[in-house]
Formats: sequence, structure tokens, C-alpha cells
Amino acid sequence: MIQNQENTPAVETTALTRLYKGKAAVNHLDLKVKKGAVYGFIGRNGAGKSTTLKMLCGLVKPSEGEIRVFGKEGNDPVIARRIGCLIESAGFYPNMTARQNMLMKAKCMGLTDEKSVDNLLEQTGLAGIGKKKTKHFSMGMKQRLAIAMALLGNPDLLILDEPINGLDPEGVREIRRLILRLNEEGKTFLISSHILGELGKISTHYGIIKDGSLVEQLSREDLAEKCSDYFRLEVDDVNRTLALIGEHAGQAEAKVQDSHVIQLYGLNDGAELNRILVENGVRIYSSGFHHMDLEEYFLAQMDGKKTEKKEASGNV
Amino acid sequence: MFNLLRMDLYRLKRSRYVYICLGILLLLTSLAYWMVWLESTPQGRETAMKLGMVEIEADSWPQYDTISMFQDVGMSGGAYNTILGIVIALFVCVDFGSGFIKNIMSLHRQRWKYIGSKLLTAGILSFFYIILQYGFSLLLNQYFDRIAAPAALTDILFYLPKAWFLTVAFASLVILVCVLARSIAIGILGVIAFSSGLLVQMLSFITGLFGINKWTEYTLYYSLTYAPTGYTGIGDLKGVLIGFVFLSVYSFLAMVSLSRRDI
Repeated sequence: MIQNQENTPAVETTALTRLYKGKAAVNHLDLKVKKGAVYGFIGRNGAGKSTTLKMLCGLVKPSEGEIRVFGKEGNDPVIARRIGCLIESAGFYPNMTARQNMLMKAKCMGLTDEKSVDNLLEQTGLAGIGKKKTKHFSMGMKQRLAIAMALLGNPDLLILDEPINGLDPEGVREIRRLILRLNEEGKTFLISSHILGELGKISTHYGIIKDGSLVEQLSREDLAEKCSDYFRLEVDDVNRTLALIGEHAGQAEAKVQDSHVIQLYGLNDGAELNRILVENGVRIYSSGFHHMDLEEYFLAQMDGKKTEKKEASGNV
Repeated sequence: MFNLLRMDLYRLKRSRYVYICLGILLLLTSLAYWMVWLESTPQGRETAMKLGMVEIEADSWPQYDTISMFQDVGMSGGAYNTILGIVIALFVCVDFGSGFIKNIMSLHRQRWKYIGSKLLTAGILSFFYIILQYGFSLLLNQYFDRIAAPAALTDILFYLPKAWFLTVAFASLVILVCVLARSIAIGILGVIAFSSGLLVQMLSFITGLFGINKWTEYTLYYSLTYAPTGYTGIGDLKGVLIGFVFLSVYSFLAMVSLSRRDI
């Protein structure tokens, strides 16, 4: 039984759909976020990320499908208290201070201990701003306050839509550290962001959404494997190069990018290959090992390219 | 819902417009008393003459008691409802305009709780406004040579709760408009159109041309404006029944609207 609870996903959606005027903004989405994960939710503008997150937060009613959070129905009032949300722009009363806004939400949740409010303001670097009203806050301060508000009530699942928008590099680093620390404490994160480099630093799992449908869900390990190192060669004669590779580095798998560029997977000694090619009269314009990052992988997925080695063309 | 109410009351106490609107209400009450004093007392008429105002015959002025005066000053012309409505419209629409509604709705997924909390807040606010305005008018009455006769306690106990209930019903209409429009500007326009009686009077005039304006007797505006100030029989409670029907319908519609639309 305990084992079952351990394995229960933090978030699980089944055929989740949201239609607007007959058109699907989110289309039969089967999302699965493991407990304790930092799930990076990636997609282009208008792909359906925010609508999905809004449905999870109870702000948008699904047209079809089911949401389960920690094994229970998404609309369960107990479950709502276990979720901390930051969706799109942060919502504050402009004529109130950060603390007053926090107290408002605390009262809304039925919390009586004001210490938790002060602790969160401290954690997010907003403790010392005094009586400044939120309408005078910078974008970064608003974002910090929004995160502090999402953390009120010590939720187990945090759904953050673009949490580092508008933050300066120092702010981004602080929020990253905060997320990682809270994740170590066992909190699950579902984060959407366009800043893929940053998302790549914290996410343990990824979900890629395109036109309302989930293209792929993968773990950090899966991504690392799919983005594995390759040796990139830019040469004058691709056919001759492929022949030489086949003769001297047969274990490597080659993918021809265009009439001059070849990607080699599974090659260990790039220098040796360069030497062989030069000795055989192949002119090398550039060569080197390359690692695909999350952004490249995402773009490849968006463009519909197949990155899997097995599907690579020009295998030797 | 009571957590939401606690939150609303916390905000209400810190909202400047609540005090500004109360100030306007008390100012209007003072002006009304001053005008009545000018017209209805020898000393007042003397002052009015000095100010160049037209003199009227003393016996042409209606005899007021403090309750009927209170009704004429605030409730009859729609001034009270307009002021209360503006406060409620600002209070509700800022939830949507600021985006704080997302914080509320992600926690309270049963939308009726939001409507219930806003109605309770409007009820509490209207209670204090009515008590303060009536208390203030009693003080003014003392100051202006007791121009209104003291009302019977039974009339006070009959009229003020009834007026309060009808103002809450008006508040439910304002909440509905705000939930539908989610805009301060439209919310306040709605308040002016509905609470001041502008719309009802206009429609009453048009339908009156065809002799079919009996329906106005069943409006909130009519129930409040022409409400009997004392209890003489069960018929005097008709306004309460009308208020209850409108309160239920408007609250239900607001809840349905909030449930069906995205936040």
C-alpha cells in the first residue's frame, strides 16, 4: 500500500482537452508528473501550456478528460490546498504591500500563523521592502512575491508558469536555488518556461507540447541519451569522407546534414579520424565534438526532425 | 467561505474608497438636513433669504420623522445604493483586474463560496453604513433644531432591517454585473444605471405610455423607494419578498457565470 502511494504520480491527466469554439487548445493530453520531479513543460507560444496549467489549478474547466493530483480528483478541496500556483502574470492588490497581499492569501487559505508569511518574504528577499505598495514593484519583485505566495501553506506541488520572467541574473539564480532546495525537501514542480537553458539546469523530467498535444515526455537521462555527443565534420567531399569513415571508424554512425556536414555518433577519437581524412586528401573546414542541449532538442522536435540515431540517414 | 470572508473584511478595512464613500454619504446627509432646515424652520428661512434662496411656505413642507427623513435622504433617490454599489463594484472588480482572483479560485473551486463571501461582505458593509448614516442623521437632527420628529422604535426596527436587506439584494445585482463584466468602468456604469433607478424610471416611463408599467412595483428600486416606514400589515413585507427573489436570482446567475467562464 505504501509502495502504491509512493508510486502515485503527483499529476496525471487522462485525455485532458479544452475546446474553444470547437477548436482544441489542449487536445487529449496525457501528462504524468512523478512525485518529487521538477517537470519542465515546454512549448511554443499558444501551444497550450498555460491552458493546461490553468486547468490543473482549477482556473479553467476541462472540456473533456480527467485530472488526478496525488491520486485524487483535481477538484478535491484538500488537493487544492496542496497546490501552489503562479499562472501568467502575478495577481496582487496594487494598493497593498507585499506583506498585506501575503496575509490576504493566508487568510484565504485559513492560515493564522503570520510567521510563515514573514519567513517566505525572507526567503524570497522581500522582507526588507517595508510599506512599498505592489503597484510600485519592479517586474522582478513581483515575480518573487508571486513565488512567495505560491509557497504559502507549504504546498506539495508547485505549478509555476514562467516563474523567472523579468528576473535579473541574480534573481534567476536565487529562484533556481530556491526551487532546487524545495525539490530536495520533496516538493514537486511543474514549470513552464521559455528560458530553456535555465529549465535545463533544474528539470528532472520534460514534457514537450505542440498544438495542444503532448509530443514527448522524457526524463533528464533520456534527454541526455538523445542529446548524446556527436562529432561534427565539415568537409569538401562527403561521399569520400563517408567511405573513409566506413573503412576506419566503422563503429560510428553517420548522419549527413547537407553536402558538406556529417554528424558522427559513437566516435571516440576525433583526432585520429581527422588525420586519416587529411592523409587521404579530404579537406576539413571544421571538426569537433558537439552536445545537443535542451533548446536544440526542443527545436528539433518542433521542426519534426528525428534525432534518434537509429533513424539517422546515411548510416555507414 | 468564512476564510474568504475574513480575507474580504481584512481588505475592506484597508480600502480607502470605503471611507471616502462613507464620507460622501454623510456629506449628502448633512446637505439634505441643512436644506430641510433652511426650508422648514423660521431661522433657516431667514438664512435662506439672506443667501438669496426662494422662500416657501412653512406649512407646505412635509412633516418628517427621523426614519422617513432617512428614507428620503438616502434610499428614495437611490443615493445610498449608488454609493454602496460603487464600493461593491470596486471591491469585486479589483479582484479580477488585479488578477488576485486566480489566487482565490485556485484554492476555492466551488464558486458559490466566492459569491457568498462577497454578499456577506456587502451585507456587513451595508449594515455599518446604515447604522452610521442613521446615527449621524440623529445627531444632525439634534443640531438642526429637531426638524424631524423622533421615529417610533417599532418603525426603526421594522424599516432599517428591511432597508438593509433590500440594499444587500441591490449588492447582489452589482456583484452579478461585475462578475459578468469584470471591469471597474462597466461595473460602475451598471451601478449608476441600476442602483440610481435610472433604468427603471426610464423603462417605467416608456411602458407607462402604453399603460403597462405595473411591473415597476415589483422592482428592487420601487421596493426601497416606496417602502412603508412602519409596519401596518403583512402587505408591508412585500418588498422583503421581492428582495429575496432578486437576491436569489442574481446570486445564482453570478455563481453560474463564474463557474462557466475561465478565470
